[in-house]
Amino acid sequence: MSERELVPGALAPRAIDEPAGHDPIPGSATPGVAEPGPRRRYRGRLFRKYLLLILSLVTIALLASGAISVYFSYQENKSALASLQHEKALAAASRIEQYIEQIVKQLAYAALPQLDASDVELRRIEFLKLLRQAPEVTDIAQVDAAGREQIAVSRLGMDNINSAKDRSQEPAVRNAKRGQPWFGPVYFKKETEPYMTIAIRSGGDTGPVTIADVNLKFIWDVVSRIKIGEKGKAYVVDGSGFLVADPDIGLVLRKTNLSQLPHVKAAAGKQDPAEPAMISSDLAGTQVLTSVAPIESLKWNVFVEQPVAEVYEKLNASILRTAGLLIAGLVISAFAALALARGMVRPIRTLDEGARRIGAGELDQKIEVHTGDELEALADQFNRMTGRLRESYAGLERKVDERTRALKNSLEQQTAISEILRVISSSPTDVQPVLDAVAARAAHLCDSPYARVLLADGDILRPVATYSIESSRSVEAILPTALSRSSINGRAVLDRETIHIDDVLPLFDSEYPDARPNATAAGIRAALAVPLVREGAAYGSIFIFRRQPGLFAPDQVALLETFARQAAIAIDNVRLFNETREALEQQTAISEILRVISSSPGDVRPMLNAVAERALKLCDAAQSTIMLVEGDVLRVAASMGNTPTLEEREVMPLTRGSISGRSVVDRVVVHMEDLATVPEDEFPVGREIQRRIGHHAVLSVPLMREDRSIGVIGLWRMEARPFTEKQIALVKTFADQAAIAIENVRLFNATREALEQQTAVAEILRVISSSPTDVQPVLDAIAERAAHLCDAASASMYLTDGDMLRHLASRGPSPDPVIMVDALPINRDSVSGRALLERRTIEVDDMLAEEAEYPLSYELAQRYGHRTVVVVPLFREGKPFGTILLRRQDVRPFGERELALLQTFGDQAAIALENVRLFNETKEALEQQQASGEVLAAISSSIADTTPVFDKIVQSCERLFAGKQVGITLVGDDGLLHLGAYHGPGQDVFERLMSSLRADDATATGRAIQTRTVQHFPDIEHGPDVPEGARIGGRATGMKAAIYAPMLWEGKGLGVIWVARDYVGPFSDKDIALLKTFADQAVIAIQNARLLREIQEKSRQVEVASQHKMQFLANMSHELRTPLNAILGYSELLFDGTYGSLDDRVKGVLERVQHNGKHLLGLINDVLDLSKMDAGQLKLSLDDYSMSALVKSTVGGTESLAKAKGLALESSIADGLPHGWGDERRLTQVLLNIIGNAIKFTDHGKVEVVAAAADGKFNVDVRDTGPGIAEADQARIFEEFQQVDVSSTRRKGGTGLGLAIARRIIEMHGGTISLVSELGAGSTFHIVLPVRVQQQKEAA
Amino acid sequence: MMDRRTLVCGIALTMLLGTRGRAEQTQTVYRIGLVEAGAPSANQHFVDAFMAGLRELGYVPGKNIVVDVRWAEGQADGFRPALAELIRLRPDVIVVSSTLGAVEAKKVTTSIPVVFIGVPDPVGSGLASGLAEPGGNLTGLARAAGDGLVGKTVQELREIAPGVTRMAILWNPGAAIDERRVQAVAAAQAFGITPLVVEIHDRNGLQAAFGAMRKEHANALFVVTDPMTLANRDEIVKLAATNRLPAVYEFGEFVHAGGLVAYAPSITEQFRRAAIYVDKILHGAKPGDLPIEQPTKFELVINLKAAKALGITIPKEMLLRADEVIQ
Repeated sequence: MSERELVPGALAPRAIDEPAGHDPIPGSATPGVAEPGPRRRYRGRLFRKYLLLILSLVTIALLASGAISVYFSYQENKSALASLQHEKALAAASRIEQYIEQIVKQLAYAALPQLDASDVELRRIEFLKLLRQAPEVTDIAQVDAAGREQIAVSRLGMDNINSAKDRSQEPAVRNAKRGQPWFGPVYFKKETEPYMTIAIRSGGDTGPVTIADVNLKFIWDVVSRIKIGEKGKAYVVDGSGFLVADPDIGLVLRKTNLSQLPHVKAAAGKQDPAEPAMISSDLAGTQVLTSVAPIESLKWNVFVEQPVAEVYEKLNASILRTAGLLIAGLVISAFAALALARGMVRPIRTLDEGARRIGAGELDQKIEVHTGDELEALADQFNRMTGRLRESYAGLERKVDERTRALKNSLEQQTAISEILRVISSSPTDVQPVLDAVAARAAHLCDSPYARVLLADGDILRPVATYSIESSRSVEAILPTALSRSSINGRAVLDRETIHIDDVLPLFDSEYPDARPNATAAGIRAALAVPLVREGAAYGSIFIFRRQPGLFAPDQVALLETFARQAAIAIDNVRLFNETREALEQQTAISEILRVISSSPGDVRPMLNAVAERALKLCDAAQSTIMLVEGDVLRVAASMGNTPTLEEREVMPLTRGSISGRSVVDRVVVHMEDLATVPEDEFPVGREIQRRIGHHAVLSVPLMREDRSIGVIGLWRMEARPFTEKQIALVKTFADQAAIAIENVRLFNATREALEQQTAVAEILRVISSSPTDVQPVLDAIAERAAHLCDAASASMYLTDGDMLRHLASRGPSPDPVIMVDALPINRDSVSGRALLERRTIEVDDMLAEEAEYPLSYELAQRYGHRTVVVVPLFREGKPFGTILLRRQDVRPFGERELALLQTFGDQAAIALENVRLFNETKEALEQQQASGEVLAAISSSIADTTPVFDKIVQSCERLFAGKQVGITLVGDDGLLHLGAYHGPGQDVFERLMSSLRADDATATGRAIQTRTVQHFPDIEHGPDVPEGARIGGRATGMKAAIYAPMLWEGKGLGVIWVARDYVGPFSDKDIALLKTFADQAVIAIQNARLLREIQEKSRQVEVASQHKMQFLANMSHELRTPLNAILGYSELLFDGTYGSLDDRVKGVLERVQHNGKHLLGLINDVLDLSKMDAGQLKLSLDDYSMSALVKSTVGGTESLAKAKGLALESSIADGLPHGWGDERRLTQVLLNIIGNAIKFTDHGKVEVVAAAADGKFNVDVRDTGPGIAEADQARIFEEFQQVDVSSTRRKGGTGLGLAIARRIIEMHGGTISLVSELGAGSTFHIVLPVRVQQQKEAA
Repeated sequence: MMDRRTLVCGIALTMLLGTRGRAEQTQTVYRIGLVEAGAPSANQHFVDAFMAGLRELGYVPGKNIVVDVRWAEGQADGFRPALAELIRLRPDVIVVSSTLGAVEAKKVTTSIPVVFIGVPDPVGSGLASGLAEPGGNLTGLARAAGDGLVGKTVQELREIAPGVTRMAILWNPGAAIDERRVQAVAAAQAFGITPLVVEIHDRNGLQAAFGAMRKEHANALFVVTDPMTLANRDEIVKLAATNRLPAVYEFGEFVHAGGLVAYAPSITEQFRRAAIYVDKILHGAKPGDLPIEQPTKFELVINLKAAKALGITIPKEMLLRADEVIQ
């Protein structure tokens, strides 16, 4: 209660921090009226305070005692549980130890020495028994004292008996002591199953050792039987921390290492665990209470663990019990505290209630407290205070009322002004909201039933904003006021002064006669008009009135004047704003049009649309139309607006009778405020349209280009309101821009088209150059370009083919079939035919209207739906050879330019065709030449045989004539025909048919030979004058057409060469000429062969004769030599006196006989040699020889002859000549002959022999200083029976065969012999001889 | 005050009920697909063992588990359609027996966990990257521990029939068990026995195979077991008897069918244990993390009737050792 305080001076008694305070709004609520406040807010505070105090005392006491008891019981229980856990661990350890001991016992039993220790079989049975009893043991072996394995028995593998394997180094053997089993470390078989080796030595320290491998998985049976609570378990860990046994066998098999767990670590570290159990965490991280018991013998640790949660479950239960008791105590103490606190607080609450009522203004109630203590005195104090408060309250209330009203008025005025300012700032573009606000505020704040704002509009004041508080009265009743001093507002505006009249009634006549109608109607008595003044002018006025006479309060007048200033400012603002915006809009419009122009350089339409749209918008027109001059009409190019469209306005005649026409023709701007008032005959067309549309103001601006008007922009308004100067100027700008843009577009399109055409022409040229042999790609390209560039649905190319026009190419964007007809007859029924016949370009604007003129083209047009057609004939060397045909599917004639382009294409087509023709002709000529050349080559390479020549001719014919069958028919000496060569099907039939035919009139062959001309049958079956033989042959072999060229030699027909085809048709002149050539060639070949045969026959005869001669010579020589030898022998005997002495005369005769006989013998020998050589009977006998010895001996042999003639015989032999390989005797004969000759023919001087070797050849020169040999004779001297001149021979003697024989011998050696000589300057015989003869050469 | 209390009680009650409601909704029915290599006429006891294993773990078929069983009928190409059919049923786990089956299962799915049974060498067959951590989506039970088992089996035969000189090795080349043939050949050679490998591809080849054994004068038989030979065990046992061949088998089933002797882990037991794998996988374990178990228990099964028919006397110590002797 002490924090309560009264605040004097406040409008209402107000308590700070009072429990039952209320919201004191100044002046809004009636003082003294109690309001129901948030009573509950402080209600329980004291009560709670006491309650809490008592409660907390009791709670603390209870908690302290509870906590102490819990703590001690917890500690006791914990240590008890730990001990229990440890006990369990010890028990588990002992069970496992027992288990192991059991195994050891069994082992020991099995290891006991047998009666007969050597009987391993008994031992094996023992071991097998053990395996059966102890499933843990998988392998058991016994090793003797020396460490040799005696027996090994396994559950998993083969038993080994007496294997004598050395196991002495195994730890089990080494470590096993007598009477003390050895336990090996735990190992994991295949990294999964735990095993341990146990070894027992029996019978002294050197007794045999029994070793068993134990599968520790079986300890699972033991550990899983040990129950540790609900979730606890016992498990075994070996010395290195590996899990050996666990109820979860999987953990063991996974070879889990637990050495990192805190309790395992602790157990490993400490010998003697200080505490029986510890809190640790298991593998999963769960808090567990764990205890350890070691198995010393195995160095294992047995752990038992139990989740902490489970262990302390009971402990928690006791704590819960304690907590329950505590809560019960607390509840009881809470009730006690409640009763105590309530008794203390009740009187205080009564006081509080009273004080709250006083605070709420309930000053007429007393506080009733009867406790008889300090609280009752306090209540009395309150009651007295209430009385005093009641008195001072009434006075205060009155004063506050007055102040509030004044404040409210000024506030409202301020608010009104600021609101108008806000309206001004929020509507910068529109003055109407401002004026409306001014009117409304003025009416409200000046207690006027009616306020209005008038604005000067010419010479009247127009009310633009009115506001009436009286909703019943009509606002429309007020008429515009004349702007004159005789109306109240007029005077205010004109004088720019506030007019304030207390009663207007008496002033109607004297001062304001114009005010009477409005004032009377509205019942105006007091009036106040304030002008809206700005920079010396007045826009209008604000007017308010009352229906009772009396002045307005000064603050109201001032307020209205403020409003007037604000309104003026607002009007100014809006005017400025609108002017700025308009300028901006125009600029924007211009720039947008420029942008449209630049963004659509090829098309004028978007630009014109943009211009029309801008003009419509910026000039506030109802319709905006742009028309362009097109010949003698104006055509609408762009139109914007919402007036009804008139069809006749799409295209208008270009006359002065329309507004637009006038504008264009006169090149002037036409502007009329109201077309309806213009005389009918001035604009007959314009008026006509005006009557139908109903527009009034019109503006028409011509589009000018270089002093020529090319169009017009026209604007309409539906009302008679003239366009402003600014708008007209803007439209002119638009017109200029449009004109420039149209010009640009025209230029752009012209350039682009030109470029496209050039490109097309260039491309076609490229196609021409890239396909010199084929005209089709060129025609395709031309058709495609023509269709594209001339904007045609399709373009087709036709070429003449006899009396037809054959279709070759069609291209075009038309999706319909572009190939119209394959061939057209060249006549006047089609446009193409006629264009070709008349040699001129024909254009038909609408094919569908030309049925009578071009019936064929009309039919096609109907079928394929084309309308406009143009045909350009193609010329080559002045002769038409084809057409280009373009079609359009609408009626749209082709332009000059397009026709010119087609002409160019036509020329190009002509060039291409000519190229191809030339190319093909050249190629053909080349092929023919090649064929002729081949035939000639065949002739020259096979002179003796005609078959290859015929074959070649037939082959060439087949290729060049595209013949199906080709053949050569020969006429035999008997006049019968036989086949020389044939190519193609039906040879058998043909040959059979021909075998009995003769070269007479009934056969084509006969006919050709007789007439000596090529016979040409284009149609064998049906043609006229076809020989019967040919017809029969044709039927049998399928020949339909054939040509026959006669082969003639010296007027005699040798046969024909013919070509046949399997289709009817003539052969060309070229073909005929070519076949003739072949026939001539064949004749040459035949004659060649014949001549050669004759020559061969003759030479054979000559050869035989020559052989006979040689044979004869050889025989004869032999026959001659025998008697000659006898003659010589006997003459010698005679000469030597064998048959008696002879006188000198007889001796002289005998000498002559001997001399001539020897000469004859030499001659005969030479002839014999020669004949042997000629007969090929002479053989060289090849052997090693020395050239230097050969030369030396020869020179030595002839020395006497030289000496006899007084000649010097010299020889010079190069050193180191190689050994030769040849016929030494023959070579000696050669050298002897040459040296002999030299000596014989040389009368004085010397004979010199030079021998050398180079490049594997001997060079032997024999020089003499004889008479020399004339050049003409030099060749002859090596031939048989030739001597230089008869006289010298006669004188010198000799057979004339020596040199011939020498030459032959040298040649048989592969060497040469030659002569260098000059008459009177001696001779040199030069022999070149291979050092080593490879083989004998044929003697030539 | 009363209102607030009511509200608090209401909220607590709602939460309690809500929790219970949710708990009841989480009961799911798992779907297991099982492909058995053989035919129901011969191998139904395997499936029964698996179902028994599931029941031991608290699964009730039809209530919280559905097991779809398909049979490969001893055919090498019987697994693929069976697996395809099962996969269409969207099982949570696939259980498949034999190496061939596991290999086929690995081909058809990489996402559905697969538990295999009776695979002699899972790592060598490419089914697992290691026994301890198979990786991938396959795990299961290996049928052999170490490589010596075939040798051990051959040894058993030799002890029963010491006069064996030529041992026929019957095997199916199409069953991906090449290494066991190699081991069998090696084992025979280790005992100085001439191995005679006889190929068999299907049931139709059995007569010819035994004909070949006769021709080669085989005097003992080792059957390399695969789904096909297991499925046709009656026929094989009969043929071995008529051909008077002492035979040793890799499956006890053969001896139950009249075969002479077998040394093998119990496949029935493995089917039962497979349920444990399924259970672990259903509880969220990844198959790749579950180690592949190797068998520890190998049963020596001897059929005295067969021995008598062959005129063989089983050594006493062997009878002592035998886990099962069929009279």
